[in-house]
Amino acid sequence: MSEKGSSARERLKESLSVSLDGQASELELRRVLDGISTDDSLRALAGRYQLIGDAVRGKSSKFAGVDISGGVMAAIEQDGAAPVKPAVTSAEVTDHAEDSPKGNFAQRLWTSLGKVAVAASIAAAIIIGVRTINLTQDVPLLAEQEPTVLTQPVQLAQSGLNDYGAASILAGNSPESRDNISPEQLAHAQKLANKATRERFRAYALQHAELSAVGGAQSILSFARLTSFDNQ
Amino acid sequence: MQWITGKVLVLGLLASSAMSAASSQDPQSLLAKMADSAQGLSYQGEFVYQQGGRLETLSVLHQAAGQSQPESERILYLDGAPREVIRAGNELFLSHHSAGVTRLQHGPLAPVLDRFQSGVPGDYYDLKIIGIDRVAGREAFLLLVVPRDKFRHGYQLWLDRESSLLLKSELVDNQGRIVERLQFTSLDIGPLSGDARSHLKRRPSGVDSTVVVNNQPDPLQSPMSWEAGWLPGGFVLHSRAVRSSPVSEHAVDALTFSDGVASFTLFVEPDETGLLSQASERIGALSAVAKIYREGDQYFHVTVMGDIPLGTAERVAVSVRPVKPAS
Repeated sequence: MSEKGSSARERLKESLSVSLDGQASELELRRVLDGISTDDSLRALAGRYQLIGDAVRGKSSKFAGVDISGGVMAAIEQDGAAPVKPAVTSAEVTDHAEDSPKGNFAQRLWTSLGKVAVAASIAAAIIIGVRTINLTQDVPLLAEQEPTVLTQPVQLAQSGLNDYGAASILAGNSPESRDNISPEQLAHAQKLANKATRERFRAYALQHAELSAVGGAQSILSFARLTSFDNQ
Repeated sequence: MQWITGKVLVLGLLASSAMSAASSQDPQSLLAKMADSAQGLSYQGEFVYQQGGRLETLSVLHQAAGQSQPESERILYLDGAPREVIRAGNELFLSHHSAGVTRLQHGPLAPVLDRFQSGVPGDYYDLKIIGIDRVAGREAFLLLVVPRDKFRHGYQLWLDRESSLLLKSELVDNQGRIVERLQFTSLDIGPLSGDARSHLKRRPSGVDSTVVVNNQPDPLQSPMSWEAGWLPGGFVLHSRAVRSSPVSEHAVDALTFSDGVASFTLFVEPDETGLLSQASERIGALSAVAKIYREGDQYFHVTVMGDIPLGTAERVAVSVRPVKPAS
């Protein structure tokens, strides 16, 4: 391999580890995926990086073994993913989640899913996105820029097989399952999933503040931090 | 580190007598005293909290536990939409203009380990009193808390010379950037006025949602208990509770870990929607990581939240696993 080629590969390797940390921009992710699909050793490396999590957690391998090349690429290109099982057949319910207090949010989420879950399939669940948002800024930069929001819509579908990840890619990659879900439905699912995550983060932050306030010196700090959620 | 050199300016202001007072203090015991004072003293004051592009003003009333009343605290957000936290004994109320009133209710909260006895901060942080500064009109020891590894943030703490109360705090990330800053602008230490005490006794008129917390989870009731397969050194279990989920009817396992300075909580919640999302966010000084764990056909939302670097939170989150019953 030429010198130029190998340094490009080094950069790609760096980007790869970043993308698996969920910190890559969309462009960077695209570059990595392009690279992986044409380079066997990079593909193996991607697998190894994924396995680091596996090693960390001991013998349990529920998070491991994702082949991120073909499936993710297909997902980005086709904006498609495997459908979830049709838990609710009614697609009539509209999403009022924005207006009402959280209440039985999950129930409404579940019902709204009817819109997404239109096709029968072996898939048990849909896994939406690796979402990375960074609202943190250094204090000295206050005046210079607005908080940046970086969203990476990478759709991974989940099939009913045992192997987390790898199977999901297969599902996402199969044309028949892709046809069953429209980009609008996917966008809707994405919106719901993000909302659920945000809701959970906000509620958990309060609980974390309370738990860490007990016996802690920084109770005022814990509660002051909740103001960061008002940015969102 | 860059953020230390900035403090040379502070050192320049020091009188030699103050310097000797600072050097005679043991940083470790100063940290412990900070925790004791925060709970055991009554005080009221106003402080600012700066994070990202925001500066917020807050006020605090704190009443130490007495013969007839539990430790209680009110934190009022003075800017923007009115928000208020009231913490008294086993209850906490958060009143928010749009989300309504949330009440957290729990049994006697005896931490598994006392925060500042649990970890040995000196093993994982370099603790150094570098001088005396003045905050909100009070003399304060300036304590540097510098992490020895990359799994935690650094802190600069200004502790009241007289009472060891935290007067000012800066959280510093591994690139030396100040992520957040909290600073008192006025503080009165001592018994609260009758007016202030009546504020602490007030409760919101209506409660929109109540989270009941069970601190002594019954292992038979909870189908699965969870553990972190990996923890950064020095972090130990601080408390453990089961509470109802914010977005579903399920119970959530909540495990709080602390290294004596920083803390994070691990939440595990069964999924019922089939719509799963993984996310990784920095929300101010908090890192929040959401992962999905799968056991057979059941999916679980694993969330790690705390004032630790995002990388640490990620690593903890992927290491989460159910505790295998000893059979």
